[in-house]
Amino acid sequence: MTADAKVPDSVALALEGARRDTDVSQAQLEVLREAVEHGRYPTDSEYRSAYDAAVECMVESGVAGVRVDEYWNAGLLQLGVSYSASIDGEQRATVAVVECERVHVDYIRSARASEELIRAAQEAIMNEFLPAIRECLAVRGFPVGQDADFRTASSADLAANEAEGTTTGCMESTGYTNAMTGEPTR
Amino acid sequence: MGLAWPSAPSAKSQGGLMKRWNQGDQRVVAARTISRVSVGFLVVAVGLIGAAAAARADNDCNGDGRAVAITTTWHADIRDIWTGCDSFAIQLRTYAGGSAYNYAYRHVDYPAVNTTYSTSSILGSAPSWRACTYLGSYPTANCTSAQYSWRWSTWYNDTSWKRFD
Repeated sequence: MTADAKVPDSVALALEGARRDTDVSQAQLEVLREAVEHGRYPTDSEYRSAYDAAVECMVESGVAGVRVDEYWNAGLLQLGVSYSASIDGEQRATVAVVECERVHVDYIRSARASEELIRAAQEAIMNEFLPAIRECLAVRGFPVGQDADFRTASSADLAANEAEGTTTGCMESTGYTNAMTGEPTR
Repeated sequence: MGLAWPSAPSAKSQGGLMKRWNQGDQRVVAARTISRVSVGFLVVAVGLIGAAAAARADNDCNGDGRAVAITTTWHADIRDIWTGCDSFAIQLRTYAGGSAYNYAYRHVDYPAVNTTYSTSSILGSAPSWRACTYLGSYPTANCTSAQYSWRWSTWYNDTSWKRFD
């Protein structure tokens, strides 16, 4: 590790865990070592490459129709997978999916999922959209007041949705949900 | 649907994550052991939802006045596959005909309160499948399908498939 590099806790802990695991891929270990060495999180590119290896593992294990899906969590890229299986082969396929992720990518994903990082990003999004959500609720006839915090406002929105028999409320119409779970645009 | 869980692997450390495949009660338990072992388990099961008009009793999903026929390929099942502090994983299943199913599998780390997490559409399913709203407290999530709203709360040992119709 370089002298001044501050290694994120999640990265150091992920490397520690990966080293204890007996059959984690060398590539996954190397990504984590590099990240620790430079005091940074594993990059999107490293994450994608690791996931590619996991997918290759799944295919070699006989999982059919494997497709990588991209998701975003408060601006952080997260990869998932879609696949097919017969009812008879479901357990086998699911075990292969879970195991291949573990061997090739789980520790990298865990290293990137720093609570500090994600919570800070979520907080910023909540603060940005809270005034609009409050305003939206007032327009809908479910006012929460200008001092209502995010939890209060979002709970009111869910209650309003239930009362109105809809699933699309202020969280969606203000763009909050997209900001929280969509690909970052800024 | 009540499918059995894998019985093969024994406890395996994942550093940050501990997965345990328990043959006895056929469940998967995963606990984050990185940082906050003392934090209670957070378990959220997530399902598929349609984007609009989910609660309409007449299945008029797009608001055009016509009921939408529910076909077998539009059915979706869910179950929780992963539990751990501040993270959850979801496994979604749609029937593809014969004995075949299509699946989606993903993790969500540190879900935000009252936030809806979507999934990509599963092969062969309707394009508007989405996920559930994490309610921000002990394992609860609001889920809706294209036809019905649905709420599910569970604990980690419930790995049976839940079916949307």
